[in-house]
Amino acid sequence: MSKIWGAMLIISIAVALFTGNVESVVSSIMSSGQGAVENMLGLVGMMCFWNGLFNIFEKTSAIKSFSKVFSKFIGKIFNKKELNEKAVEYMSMNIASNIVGIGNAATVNGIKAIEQLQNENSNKDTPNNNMTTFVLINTASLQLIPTNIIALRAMYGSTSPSAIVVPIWIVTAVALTVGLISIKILNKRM
Amino acid sequence: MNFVIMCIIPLFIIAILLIGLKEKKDIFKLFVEGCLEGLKMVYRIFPFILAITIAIGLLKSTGALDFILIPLRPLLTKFGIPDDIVPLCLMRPLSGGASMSVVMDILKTSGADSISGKMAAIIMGATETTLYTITILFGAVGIKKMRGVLIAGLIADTAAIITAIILVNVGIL
Repeated sequence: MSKIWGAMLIISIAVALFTGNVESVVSSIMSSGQGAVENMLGLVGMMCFWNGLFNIFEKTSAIKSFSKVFSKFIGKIFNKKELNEKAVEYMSMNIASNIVGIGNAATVNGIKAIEQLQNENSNKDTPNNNMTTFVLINTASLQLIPTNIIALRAMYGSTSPSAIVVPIWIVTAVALTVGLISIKILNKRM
Repeated sequence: MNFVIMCIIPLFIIAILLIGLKEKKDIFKLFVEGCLEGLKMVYRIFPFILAITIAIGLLKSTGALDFILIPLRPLLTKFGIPDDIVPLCLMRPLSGGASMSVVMDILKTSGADSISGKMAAIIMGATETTLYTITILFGAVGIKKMRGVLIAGLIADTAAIITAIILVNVGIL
């Protein structure tokens, strides 16, 4: 993380110095900072709302039958020895939120799931295989109905805005499969 | 169809509230507690969002991104990727907002039902902002090394782009 982040900053500033585009450095940091705060402010309300709602859900008996639906799939992909029951519940809620397309709920449940996975992780600096696999699944777009894209296509005059839904499913399935195979191989080497 | 989709989330909210009430839970107290926890989460991930936003912003505004992309551009065009899709492919894992504006631009100039319009929409809908997702999830628990996640995520994104291009070229859509 440090290397990538450091490289991004150093390369940018070096390019700015070379091209004489120096003012852009400070002004860009300023506007990014402002943008990040605005982003965050937009996020706070929805993240709190969904975490509040899922906190009710977690305390009911419905969560058990709900996570059972996903536990088969989760048990196949993850190492069960390093999975506790809470982790499976949060992972189920994270995956379900992603599929339904509630991004903020996916984020809060994803963070809780990775906290549970971290509890079972022996080296706190380095993710174990379950953690890398879980994050990889989150970098795939599991959303069943890509509402934003459909709306965008409608806005720009597509004759059939939702025609991309099935191709998106195919592409997502290919990407997720390729991603899972890659992480399985890379988990052994890195 | 559209109406059914729009009903999913509201129905889900009602279902949770009803189940909570039926099981005699103090749903208001649970909700408020969850909100507070959500607030703490936002507080905890904000530094990571800021770090990544600043890095991406600098790459774009200083022109460093163009420097990195110039050698990649002819390579991608050689593989049959339409010229206007190339910036989207390179931007997608880094910044959701920036790639969304690229998609809008493509839809506006080439049309929503054009070849690049379809490719752009599929790529946008089938992938996530890989780097951002990794940063937030690992950041939340203080993980410093990523191991193979970024590489695997980028390989998956590449697979998505290739599949999208093939699907549109073959005429599935």
